[in-house]
Amino acid sequence: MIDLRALFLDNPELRRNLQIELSPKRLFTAGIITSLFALIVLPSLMTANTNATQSHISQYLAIILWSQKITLMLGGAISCWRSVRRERELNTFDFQRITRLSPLELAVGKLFGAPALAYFVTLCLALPAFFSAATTGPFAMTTMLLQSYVLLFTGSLVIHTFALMISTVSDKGGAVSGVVVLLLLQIFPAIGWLVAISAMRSPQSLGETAVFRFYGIAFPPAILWVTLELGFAAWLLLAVVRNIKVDVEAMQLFTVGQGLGFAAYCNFVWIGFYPWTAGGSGTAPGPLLLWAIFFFYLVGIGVLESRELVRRELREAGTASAGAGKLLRPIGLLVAGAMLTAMLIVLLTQQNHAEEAARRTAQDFFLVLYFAAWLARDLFYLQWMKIRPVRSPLRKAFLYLVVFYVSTSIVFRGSFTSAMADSAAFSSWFAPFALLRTWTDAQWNAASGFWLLALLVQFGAAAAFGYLYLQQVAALARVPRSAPPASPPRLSSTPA
Amino acid sequence: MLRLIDLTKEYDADGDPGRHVLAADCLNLEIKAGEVFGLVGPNGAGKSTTLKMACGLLLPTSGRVLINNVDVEHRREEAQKYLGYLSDFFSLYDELTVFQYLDYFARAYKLPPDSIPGRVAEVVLRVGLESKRDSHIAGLSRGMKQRLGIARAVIHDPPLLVLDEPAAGLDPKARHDLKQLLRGFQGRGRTIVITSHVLSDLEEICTSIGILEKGRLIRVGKIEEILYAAAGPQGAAPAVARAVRIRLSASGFPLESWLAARTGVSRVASSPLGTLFEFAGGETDLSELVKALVTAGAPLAAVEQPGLSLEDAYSRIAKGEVM
Repeated sequence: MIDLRALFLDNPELRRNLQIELSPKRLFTAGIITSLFALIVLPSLMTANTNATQSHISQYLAIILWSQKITLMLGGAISCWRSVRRERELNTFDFQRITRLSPLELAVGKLFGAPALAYFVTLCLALPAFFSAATTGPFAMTTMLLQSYVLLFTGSLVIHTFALMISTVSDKGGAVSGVVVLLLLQIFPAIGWLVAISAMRSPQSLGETAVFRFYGIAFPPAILWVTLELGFAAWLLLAVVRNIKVDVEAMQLFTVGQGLGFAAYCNFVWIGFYPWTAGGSGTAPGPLLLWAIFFFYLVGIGVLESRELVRRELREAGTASAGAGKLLRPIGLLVAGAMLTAMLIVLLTQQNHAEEAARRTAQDFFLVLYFAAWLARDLFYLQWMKIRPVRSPLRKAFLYLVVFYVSTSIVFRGSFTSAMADSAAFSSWFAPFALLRTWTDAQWNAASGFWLLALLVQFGAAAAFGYLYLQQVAALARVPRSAPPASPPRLSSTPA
Repeated sequence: MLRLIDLTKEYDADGDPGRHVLAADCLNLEIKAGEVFGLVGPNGAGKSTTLKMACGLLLPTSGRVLINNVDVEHRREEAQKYLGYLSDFFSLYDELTVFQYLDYFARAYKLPPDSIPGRVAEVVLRVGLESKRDSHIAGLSRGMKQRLGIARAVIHDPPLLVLDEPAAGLDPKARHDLKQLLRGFQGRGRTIVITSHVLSDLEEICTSIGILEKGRLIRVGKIEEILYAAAGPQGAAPAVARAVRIRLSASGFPLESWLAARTGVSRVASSPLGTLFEFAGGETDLSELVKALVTAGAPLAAVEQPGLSLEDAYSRIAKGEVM
């Protein structure tokens, strides 16, 4: 049972962060700046056209809300991203790791403590926003404003947890990539939030209620999005809690079971937004499958074992553990999970498009096999690279992979759009982009040999990388272990 | 209090990642309650790695660490309540005051909230920072910060204190204060594990030492036993000889060449403190030698037999001169 009091009210890490982040000096400076900002923006809008007050209030609210979004989502995320990294750089993190703070207390303390100043600025800006909404707008506007704040909070929570996760699992490098990922991630929670604030941009639309269809059921966007975001935050928090007190070299984002669970959750969300009404549009499962597999790809990267973990396993369990069984955990299980998910998607699409489905069965199952083999190929490649005895192995592996996919895209860019199935099928020997399109039976059958070869190439490449991975494990196991040293000359009072 | 069982840590060698380095090689050691144990060895011997594994900060490649019979890897948080740790290079939270800093760690170690102000006051007094209680950490000197680091390590009154190079970068006064502080903890029955490059400091405060070379413990024991073993008659040939220093009241006598010509004398070296040599013989032989020296007309001022220091003992053991 989680003790919420210990987690929030009596959490010393949260308290320490609040003491530092919300020092009187910082509060005063932030308060002055935000007040000035709020006061300057409104008159500058009003002077432009004094007749359209209602519209200007909406604009004012939009500016305030965007400022809050940037402050909380981006500013707060950067604070979270720096929280563990900075402690590692200063050599203070080890002292926290050896305290009796539980990993959850430490994670929550940083998650809500590090971005405290961003929360404070957001709160300061909320006052003029509520004031203008309440005094000049209809009641619905205040309700929508409140709703947008709930979405802003949950969206920020996802981003902050992700940033904290990056901070926890990355040592001292990855500064640029971390910021880039954080910037990209701003898109996801913004979707739900934008739905809320776009309604406020036009006062006429306030009465209309937008809905999101999830597994064909209509949900109010705010409730659905908040629920989904809380789910994502919980999974990411699990990764933080699992790793925050662990030695960096021995980190693994999730266990295999947790990884499968997280990938299943991502798929549950992704598939839920597919138009599941019978006879609806979107009969080709290619993009749906690619994304579904791609979630396993992303999660798989977090589940790959480090060289240190493999070495430890070999030393603890003996060289017998260096056999083909290593192919099963974690990658084999992830690929199996991905195949199951893909099969489920195919069955669901066939159920909704029964007539076309019978015709497409072979193609659909080809896609399942192809994407599974492609996933295995890349994950075995990454796992092999990750345990090679080089500096920053995973970073190098990604670099090579990016170069490979960019080159492939350039070389085969014509094939992706070409109606010639054989050239497209040939390109899918290397990358799966050609399979995102819908091929007619005639086109498909005309290049069936190429498609089959493309599948075999994926299996072949996966087997080759799997073999290289096993070779690397065997090399690690073969390292001559020095015989246990003879006990040191032992003197009477200190028996070893 | 602290047990290392087959503790091993492998690394890939820098610059040659295919080669493995053993920072700790099947270490087996037991440190009993109340001991002050010094871990000595050259840079890269694996001292810090061993201490980090002992504290649960670094995962061993294989082997176990028990603190008070609690497995550090599997019951980390329970084991860590028995442990206080200070690393060689560290920072503090400069934005906090001394009181806020210690209050934070007292809470992090789950001390009862009511007892925290009293405990912080007690520790602040013990490390001599009572006048700085409400000062910001940023304004403290290096020595004060080191004392605050120790205060943090002992705030939860752990029975085991692990200190990695605590005297690094301290001036002589701060080093003296640190030794006094550690003696105080020892006096209260705490177990201390400490590493330092200043062997004379360790000699003063440690009850026992372990010598670590390339990840292996090559000698473990009570400090006097180590010194005895390094100088004693059971050692290799050079160790049989004992050091003797002769000082003359006036220059002019060719002492070095005179000594070099005697039987049983070796390694003659002069310094401003006198002429030091090794003499392989008993007390009677030494008095005969001194008598002969006076007869030869040397203006003899003193004959000393300097004891073997920890530094000498370490040097001999590390060179393999002592079995």
